[in-house]
Amino acid sequence: MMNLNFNTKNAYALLGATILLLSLGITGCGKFVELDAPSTSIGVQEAFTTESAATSAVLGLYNSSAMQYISLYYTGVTGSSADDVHYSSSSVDYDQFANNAITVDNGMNNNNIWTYGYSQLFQINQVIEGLKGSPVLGTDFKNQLMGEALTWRAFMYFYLVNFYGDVPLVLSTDIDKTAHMARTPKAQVWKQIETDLSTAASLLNAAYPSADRARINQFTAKALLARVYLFEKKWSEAEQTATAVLQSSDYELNPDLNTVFTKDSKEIIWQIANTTGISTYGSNFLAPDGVLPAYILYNTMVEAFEPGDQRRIDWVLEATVSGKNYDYVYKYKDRAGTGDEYNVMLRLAEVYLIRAEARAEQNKMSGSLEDLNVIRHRAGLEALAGLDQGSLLLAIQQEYKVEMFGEWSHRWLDLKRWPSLEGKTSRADDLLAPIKADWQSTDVLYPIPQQQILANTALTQNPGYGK
Amino acid sequence: MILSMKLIGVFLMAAAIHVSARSNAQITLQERQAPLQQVFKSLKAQTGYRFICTEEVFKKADKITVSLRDVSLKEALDICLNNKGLAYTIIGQTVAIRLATDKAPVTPKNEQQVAAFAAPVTVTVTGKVTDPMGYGLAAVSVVIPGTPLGTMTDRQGNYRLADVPENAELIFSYVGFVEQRIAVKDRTVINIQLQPVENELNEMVVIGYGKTTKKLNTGSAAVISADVIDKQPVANMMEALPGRVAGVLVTQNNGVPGANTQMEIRGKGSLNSGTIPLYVIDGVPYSNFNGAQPPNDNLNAWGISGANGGTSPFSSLNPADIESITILKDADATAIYGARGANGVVLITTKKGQSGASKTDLNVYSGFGKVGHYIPMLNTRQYLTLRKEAFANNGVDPNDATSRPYDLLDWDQDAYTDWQRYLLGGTARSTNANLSYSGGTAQTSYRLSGNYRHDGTVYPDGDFGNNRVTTRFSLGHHSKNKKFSFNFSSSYGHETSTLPKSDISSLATLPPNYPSTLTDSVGNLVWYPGFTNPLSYLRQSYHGVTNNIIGNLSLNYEVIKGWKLKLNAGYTHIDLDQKSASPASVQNPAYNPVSTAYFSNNLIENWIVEPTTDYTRKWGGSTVNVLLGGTFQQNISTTTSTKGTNYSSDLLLGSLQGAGLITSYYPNDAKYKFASLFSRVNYNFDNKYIVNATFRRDASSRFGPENRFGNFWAVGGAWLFSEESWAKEALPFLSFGKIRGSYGLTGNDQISNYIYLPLYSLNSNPYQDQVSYYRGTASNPYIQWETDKKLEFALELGFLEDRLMLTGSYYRNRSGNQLSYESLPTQSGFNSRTVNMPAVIQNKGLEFTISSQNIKTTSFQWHTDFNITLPSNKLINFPGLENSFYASSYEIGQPITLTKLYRFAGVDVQTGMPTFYAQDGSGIPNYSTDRFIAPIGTPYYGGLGNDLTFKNWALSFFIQYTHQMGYTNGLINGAPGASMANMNTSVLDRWQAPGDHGTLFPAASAVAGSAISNAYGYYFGSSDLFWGDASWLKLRTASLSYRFNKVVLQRLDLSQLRFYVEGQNLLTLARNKYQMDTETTVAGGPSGLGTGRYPAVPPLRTIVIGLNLSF
Repeated sequence: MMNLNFNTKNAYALLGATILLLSLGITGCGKFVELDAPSTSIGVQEAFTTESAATSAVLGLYNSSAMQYISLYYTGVTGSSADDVHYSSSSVDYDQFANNAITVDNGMNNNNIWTYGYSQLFQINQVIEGLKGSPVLGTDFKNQLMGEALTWRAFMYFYLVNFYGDVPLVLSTDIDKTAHMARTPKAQVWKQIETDLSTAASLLNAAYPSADRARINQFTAKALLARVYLFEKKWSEAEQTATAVLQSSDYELNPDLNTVFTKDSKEIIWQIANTTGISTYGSNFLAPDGVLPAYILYNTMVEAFEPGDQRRIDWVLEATVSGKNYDYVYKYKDRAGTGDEYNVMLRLAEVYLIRAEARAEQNKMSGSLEDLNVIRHRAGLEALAGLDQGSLLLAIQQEYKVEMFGEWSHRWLDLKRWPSLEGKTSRADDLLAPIKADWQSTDVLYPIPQQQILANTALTQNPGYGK
Repeated sequence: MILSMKLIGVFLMAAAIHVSARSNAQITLQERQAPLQQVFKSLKAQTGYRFICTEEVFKKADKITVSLRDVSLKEALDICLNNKGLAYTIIGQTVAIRLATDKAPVTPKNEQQVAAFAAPVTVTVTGKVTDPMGYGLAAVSVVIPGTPLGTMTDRQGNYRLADVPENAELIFSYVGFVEQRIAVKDRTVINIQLQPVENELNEMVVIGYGKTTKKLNTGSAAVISADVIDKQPVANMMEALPGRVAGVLVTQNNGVPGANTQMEIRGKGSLNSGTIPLYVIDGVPYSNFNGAQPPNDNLNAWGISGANGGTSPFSSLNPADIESITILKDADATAIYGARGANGVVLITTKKGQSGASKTDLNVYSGFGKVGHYIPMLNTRQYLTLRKEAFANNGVDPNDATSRPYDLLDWDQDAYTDWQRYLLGGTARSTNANLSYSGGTAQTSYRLSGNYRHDGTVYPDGDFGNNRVTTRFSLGHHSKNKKFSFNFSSSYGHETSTLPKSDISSLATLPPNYPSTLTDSVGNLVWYPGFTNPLSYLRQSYHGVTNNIIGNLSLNYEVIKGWKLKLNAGYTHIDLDQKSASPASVQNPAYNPVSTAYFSNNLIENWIVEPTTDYTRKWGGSTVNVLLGGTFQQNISTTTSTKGTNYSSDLLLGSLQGAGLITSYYPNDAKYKFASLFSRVNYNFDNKYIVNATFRRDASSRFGPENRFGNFWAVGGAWLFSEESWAKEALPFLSFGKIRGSYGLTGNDQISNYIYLPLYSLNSNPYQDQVSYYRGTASNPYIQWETDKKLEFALELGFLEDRLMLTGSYYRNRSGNQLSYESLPTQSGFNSRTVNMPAVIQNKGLEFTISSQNIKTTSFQWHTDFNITLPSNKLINFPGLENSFYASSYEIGQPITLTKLYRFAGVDVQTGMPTFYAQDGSGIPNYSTDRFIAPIGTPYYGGLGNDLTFKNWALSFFIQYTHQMGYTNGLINGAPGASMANMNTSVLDRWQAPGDHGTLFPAASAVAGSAISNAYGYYFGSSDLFWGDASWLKLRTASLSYRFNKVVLQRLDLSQLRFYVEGQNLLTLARNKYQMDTETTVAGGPSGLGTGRYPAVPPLRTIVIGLNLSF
């Protein structure tokens, strides 16, 4: 090359060629700077091209950090809006939930109730979109994962619509479209929940995809669907769906109340696994001797147990701190180290109560009593008989209270949906007004966090919380 | 055929007849015992080539007998001259014959030159070339223009040139010296003294993808030359730069060896993205920003850290290998680097060999560093008085205190340890040795260098420090016809760092009567609740090993005159292997410590290929240069970090093998790719009017397909008005005058990698023994370049034959399209995402530089450099600021580094309580309404350097200064006496009794929750009590050296012998004496700084003595 000699003419040709080459080079630049995902993470598209990666994406829903917090706050903080548990220390944000006097700038409401809910929903929607867009996964495999994701989505919206009423129904991960959505009428949200669960139930198998009932199966979707029908007052659908679950031989009430929440309890329909065997929200109710647990029970709750109710003995414990006694939830037993308890999400006892209520509402008195007495029997109580519809419904409400206290805000959601006996808006008005100084009917819905309204002006506030 | 009968002559075979040359003619030659002349005659007839040689050749040449048929000229010559002791060179259509023992002549370029070769009367000239001091200059080129004759001086500066036509002219030239032409005029001895190039205007300035001169440069480029760096005994080249360049802030993070430095060119132009300049070593980018947040270029950005914090990518390079550092500041200079030019560009050029006799240079120095300033702290008596007073003020008996005051109740009330000096009072030894060997022939040059360096620390108890070994090799070569050339260089650096795991400076606040017995009789550490035993920090070790390899090759080829092709390729490999160990036995047993070891492997690999072509054409007074090029670059950065716990023995902490439990954490695996096409057109008319236009199109992998490409451009112009005839008449005192200006657009892509890609990250815990994923961040496919519009005007003036040079620049950079975090309604799934925001930050300022040759005589020279910068930074636009994340952080019209403070309203004379201004009169200030923006005054900074030479002595000193409002005391949050921590003596001026007026501090208070403590609240530390003039001035460098004269050198057979003493950070004058080094405290400095209110090892006061010799 060194000794090549160019005359001017072919030199210009070469110059032209060089420029052309460089220009072509730059068009290749776009290609050159395209990257694959780093090995420390995986591209969302790639995640849905293999079964194991797609499974990992779904497992992320169970294992998300948002879910860790949700299990704490959707049990304790929102639970304290009812009359079973409340935060034991004084903290402005917590107290507002216990006093049903939540201000629009309550940080707990914004960060832990609203934000974690939607954070989990993003992860769920991501899985649903990924599965839908995947051309390579087999149908059976995809159905299972899709069923799980849809059940998850229904679970999250069930809580959000109960807490806030109308909520933005975010079904996509396109932030540009979802970030500034307005609130969706709650009827439409309920419809979506129902659709998601029905679809999930049709996609899922009765068999669990993994050990310890730690992932969603068909009965999980059905049990949740039964609850949703009940909340929608679709009594016969609720009864039928509950029956489908109760007919399964996989589940039975755990005779020993002390082991209802251990991970191999046959009563559990769905639980979330952990590596330590210590339940996130379960252990949050517990404390070492002499230390005040984070949440304690209202006296009215402790007094609600009938004499001889074994649940009073096995599920409630007394802490003595500085000479004072406090009762607290003792359903879970493991607090530290390693244990054998997971986070129970759904259990069979509730399904009995769902069917009992659905039957009672349809005037199927004997069937209803039968279901109710199954629960009472396990608690060591006498069977009930000969009640009229009104009394039976109240008995069912009482049974709900003593069976489901301290779990996933059941009491709070139930009080809001049951009709008032005193001509008010809901049963919450009847029961909470006497113990909560500033109770107002509008407190059944939490305020949309002010910070969210500021960030998204399309959001409106719930009644009772100012403009 | 003419035959000169002179004793030594040149024989020219050529006749003046034109015969067309036939280079590949088939030659037939039949000769028997023919003289050389006859053979040449025959060959000439057949080929048209002509033949030249000296008479000596004819005398010595044997008769030739050959029989050849149909051979080439070359074959014929090879055969004819073989074994005759003759050699030949073909130049164009001329064949030069010489004795094989003679050196090949410098190639004559054309036939005219060859003709001159035939001058009949010649002499041999000898002589010596010296510098103004009388020292011999080696490797000076001595040539006769237009002929192949030439030579070079030897090590002592002597030369001998034979065959010089008696009427010839000799040209003496040497880089950095003024070229001299001397007529021979029958002389045979010509001694000459060369004068150094005084006119810095003609010095070469390295710019992006090329070179220019200071005179013709249209952009803003500041050059730091090797002699500035070499006078400073620094381990890291960056530490030689503070204060040297207008508009550039450089600060080292701390005084622990290996610590990183920060450079900020013309202010901070980004809210959240990186403001790291682009560093380029010999054309190869050397920036190590790898997406870490907050943005930094620490080698251990993803790894673990020792006491020095961030590890500098420059500390494994040898400053003595640096030839020059050019800092490009304006659009004209930086736009050729397009998307990476927004933060300025630092071009580092390494030393290369030079043609000439080989030269060995040895430079060794050794010295010590100490903390230059200690904070005056309370002694035991003052401290205990304060503590007792604090309890008394609260009305609490120390015996009843909730947490036991050991200092008052348990420890010796007379014991005294100056913990500051115990921890940081040591002497850090430094030893540095450089050895280089360089030289070359006319075509090839080389340089080989090696460096060893050791830096200790000021810490007690432990063999801490850094050791570095580097080597560098460079090789340059060009072909005989100079059409092809290449440069190759490669360097290797190996640095080991042994340090405590964390800086122990924070323990300087141990109470003065804290028991000085730190271990018990069997050597176990003694613990007191709430305190850290200093030995605990010293015995948790950090070990880091850096390997740094840089390779660079550039190939150049001149296709036709004016048109060059160039290919530059480079590779950088830096790995940093780290481990730290925290044995349980040296940690506070109260916290149930477990032995833990951390291991981290960091790798940064970078390659670049840049083909360029450039074409220059001159006609009339016009010169046009067109440059066109492309860049392909890839950066890989990976970090694997592992934590080992549950060790069965502390002795096993050095490896993972002995760990019972191994956890992998914080991994990094990032790839960054970059591709560009760039061009530059430079038009110069008559060296008076110059226009420079740049365009670059970049593609960066940090951006999504939507916005991956960015176009950047700049236009610069210069008018050398002093070249105008009217100026020469009207302004005779002006020797140089230039007005230049530029405007253009550059970009910044220093954000996390992969933001545009939706990615699943891995949860650290498995779910039912299976891996699970989560979407950690919101991706943004539209993410694109941060842009910086740069404007500059400058006036450059030279007076007194350019002995006094002044430069004044005005710059205004507007950085927009800010890559920052947008808050999102969380229904989207995230609370924020990285977006481009229309916020605009303006950095503008004035820079003045003066360079003056005050005195210039043979024996005494005095040179002064001065620079000053008046910067200003403000946010000029931020739509939607009120409703954004940043509502309380920024304000339109204010600097982006603003500090908001509460107003201290004085000490209540009766109660001694602090009071604060509150709008509502409550005395309890409100976070959003009662804080005001702390004034920063009119900040300016710069440096003043003086270089004096008197006979054999040379003295240099450099002063750096900064004027700015800022914090004037260390961080004091709560009440004096509040905790068992010593305080500086400023607390002696405190309220003690009702009626005490005008005290600096309010009353002491020991008990949290007491009325006095509550009055301090959270407001005291965030109030303006300690805001004021934080200016400082530092004697950063001083050096004194003595050069031995030639008599001594000749006796020792050396070309240079020099002794010197040098010092760094010698003296600081600051209003604030409660800071170890005020330099690191000024708000508004480079990011990573401004934390100096917290204790850290300051840059050390270092003094070394050294010896430098060459032969």
